[in-house]
Amino acid sequence: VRLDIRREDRLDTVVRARSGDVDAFEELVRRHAPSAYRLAAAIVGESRAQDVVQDAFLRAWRAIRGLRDVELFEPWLHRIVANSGRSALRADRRVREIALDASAVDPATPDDGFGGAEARAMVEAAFRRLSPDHRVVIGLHYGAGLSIGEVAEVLGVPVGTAKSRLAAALAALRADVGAT
Amino acid sequence: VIGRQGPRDRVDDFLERLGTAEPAAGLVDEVMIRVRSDERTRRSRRWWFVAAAAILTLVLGAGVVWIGTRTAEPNPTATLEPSPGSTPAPSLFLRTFDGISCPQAGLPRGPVTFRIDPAAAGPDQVVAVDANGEPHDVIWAVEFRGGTLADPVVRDPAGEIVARDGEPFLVTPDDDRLHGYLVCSGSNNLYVLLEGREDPDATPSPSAPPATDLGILPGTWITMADAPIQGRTDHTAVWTGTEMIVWGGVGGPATNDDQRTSDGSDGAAYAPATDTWRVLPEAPISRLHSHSAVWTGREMLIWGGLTLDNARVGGGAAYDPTSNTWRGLPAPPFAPTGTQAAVWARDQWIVVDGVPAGNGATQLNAAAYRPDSNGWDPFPALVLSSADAFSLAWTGQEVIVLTDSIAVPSAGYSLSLGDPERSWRPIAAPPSLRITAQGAETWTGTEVLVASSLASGEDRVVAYDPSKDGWRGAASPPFGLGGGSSTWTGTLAIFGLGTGGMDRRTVYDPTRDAWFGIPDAEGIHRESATQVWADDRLLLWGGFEGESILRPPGGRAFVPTALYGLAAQASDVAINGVRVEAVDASGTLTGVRTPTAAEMDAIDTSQLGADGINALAVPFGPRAIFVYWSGGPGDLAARIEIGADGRSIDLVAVPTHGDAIPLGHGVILTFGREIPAREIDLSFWDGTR
Repeated sequence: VRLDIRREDRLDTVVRARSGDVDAFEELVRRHAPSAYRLAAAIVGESRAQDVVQDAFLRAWRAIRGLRDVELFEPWLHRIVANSGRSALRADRRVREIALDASAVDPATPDDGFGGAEARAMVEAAFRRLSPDHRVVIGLHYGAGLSIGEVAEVLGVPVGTAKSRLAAALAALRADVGAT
Repeated sequence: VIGRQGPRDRVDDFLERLGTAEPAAGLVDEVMIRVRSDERTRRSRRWWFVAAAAILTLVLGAGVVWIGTRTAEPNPTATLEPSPGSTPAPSLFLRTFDGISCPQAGLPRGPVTFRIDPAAAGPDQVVAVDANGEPHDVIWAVEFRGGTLADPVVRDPAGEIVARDGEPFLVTPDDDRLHGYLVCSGSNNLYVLLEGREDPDATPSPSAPPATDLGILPGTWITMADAPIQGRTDHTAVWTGTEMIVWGGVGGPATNDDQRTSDGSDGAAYAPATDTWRVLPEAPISRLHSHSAVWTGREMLIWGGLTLDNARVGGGAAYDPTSNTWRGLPAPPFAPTGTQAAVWARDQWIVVDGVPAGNGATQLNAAAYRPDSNGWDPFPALVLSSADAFSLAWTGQEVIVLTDSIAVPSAGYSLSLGDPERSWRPIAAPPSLRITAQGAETWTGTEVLVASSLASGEDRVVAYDPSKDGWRGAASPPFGLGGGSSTWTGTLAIFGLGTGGMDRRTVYDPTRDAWFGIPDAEGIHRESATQVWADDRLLLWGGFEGESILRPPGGRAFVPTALYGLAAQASDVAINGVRVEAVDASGTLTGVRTPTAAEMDAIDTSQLGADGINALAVPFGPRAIFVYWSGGPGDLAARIEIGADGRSIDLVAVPTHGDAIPLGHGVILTFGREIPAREIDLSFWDGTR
């Protein structure tokens, strides 16, 4: 098991940020930006992830004074990132998303030996066709690297529900890729 | 040799790569620039809201007393002495005015003690008990906040109005050192119940800014009855004039124990008049999300979007609430992609859909659906070198189409319904936009309001005037608009449709280029709810509960306190109701609310002229009274004056019309809470009686 020997420091930083300490919040941003970015990239794609993460941290800063339990900062933050990503999906469901369709892949992209860029784009396109909820649960588990229990905590659902949602999301993705 | 991957391998490879994405090096710095900027803005704004809310409360509370007493003659016999029987709580002191009644008659008299009930809030917090410990009615209590307290004016038991030293009740709203209630008790006494310090010599806080820079649109949040269908996001809502129809969208669990992801019900209709819902019959098409919907005046049209399996559909459907039936719509001349925008334009539905056209270009397909012929007429396609987003607006004459792109400047086009060529006419180039509307922008009657988010993270609004083919920038909003377009009330644009929660709505008044806040929604936070303007209230429904993925079936309505008022020069204001302008306590015009015919019809003017009565005050809705002058004896008119303090309201009888409100005209006075009818007591002084 991994021991979290810096737990007290971690919580102290959250407490200071909650009381309005901007420098403490910056520490939190540095600490959590990578996982937040990976989660956002999974939901909206890398081209939009930077914007989503910025938006999410800004919202977290505005709301952190209302965070009751500092132990729950991480799932709380991931929830904000997930919702920001979901909001970005809704806001951008106009033109930008279409470019992610497999038909838009440049056929001149060289094969990388692992099925090629075309195959990779096909999976990405299938992923973009998943519902936002499915993208979020996959992003939390595979993008942000959260355990199923942590995913359940972020989503505010029982562990069993998180498991079944993840399984359903993967099944939908695999079915789409297999059918493509 | 590495063979080609199967589906499972490809998915696993993809999932593995999800966990390796790395942010750009400057991400943290960019985040912190925005956070620090936001913090500076937040600190500077905090005072505006506090001061504005305090002063609004003060003015409304003081206005009640002022109106009831301003024209009275001083009564030198009135005594104002503290009641010996009062037992104020710590940090609370009580002034009672023995022998002087509040403007109620016929109620039993008796000694009472007042205290603050910490379990209650607002004026209801005031509790009165008599000498036996029995609760005693508090007829009304007006809350105020301010710095110093001048002597109140009250009314004696004989019904004569008295005013100590001829001065009105006045709380100086320079800070919040003093907090209290003006209380009318069941013992027919008037009291002033105070908390805090009363220190006239204390220096007000120097950091308090003037309160007129950001006003608050006063009003009340009301909880709507829960819908009989599952809560959802990505649905649509339209207002028919009597009902809000919500349809489609992605359902989700309402609670953590709710395992449903989506139910089969397509939609429901909510009637605010009865606070009731009814379920719609099933539509003849698959349930959609992220679609478009409009109200034609007779039917709700829906089209576009995606099914719950994210499949595209061709045709749409129309729902007629009168017959409670659906009919199918023919497919438009191009395949929808789920990235459409649509507006109702006079007698036809204009839909625009964007698709990639290769080499980074984007093609906009457009068509018009006419319900009378049940057919589609296509417009020529417009190919743009680049477009990341687009939105529409109907101006009454033409459809304005706006585009934005990170690669090329923003652009605008006009589609004129009268153009036989049906061509896309370029309009004046808009400023750099990042469109946030989900489909349609707001048309005010003279301008298209476009919300745009800036790269800095701030939002702004720009306005296009088609008569001048020109753009202007609106005043900067006080805080982020939350994405989305605005909801138009007829005079004001309420922003907060997108990601903004219920507690982050902002109101823009284009005629004065001014912004207002909306009172907090009492802790309710809902993201991505739909909002519609339902004649006199904003209806919000659906969306996520706070930061969770829960989608509760409940909604809320914000009912603005009707801001009635009268501009002195407005000669066209008559009792049959035309345009009525609203002024705040500083005399600044704050909005317009035209009384409905029903409200005007409810005014009983039969007393006027009888027995020499030349003025009338009647309830006008729950939070306002209508004051009317008739042509009684003498040449009577009245003038509204804003007190020298800028916060009290004075109705002054004047012998000649001049710039006053002429005979036969009236004024509607609005208060920040409901006023029991029995509380209303308005008297006038015409110079002789």
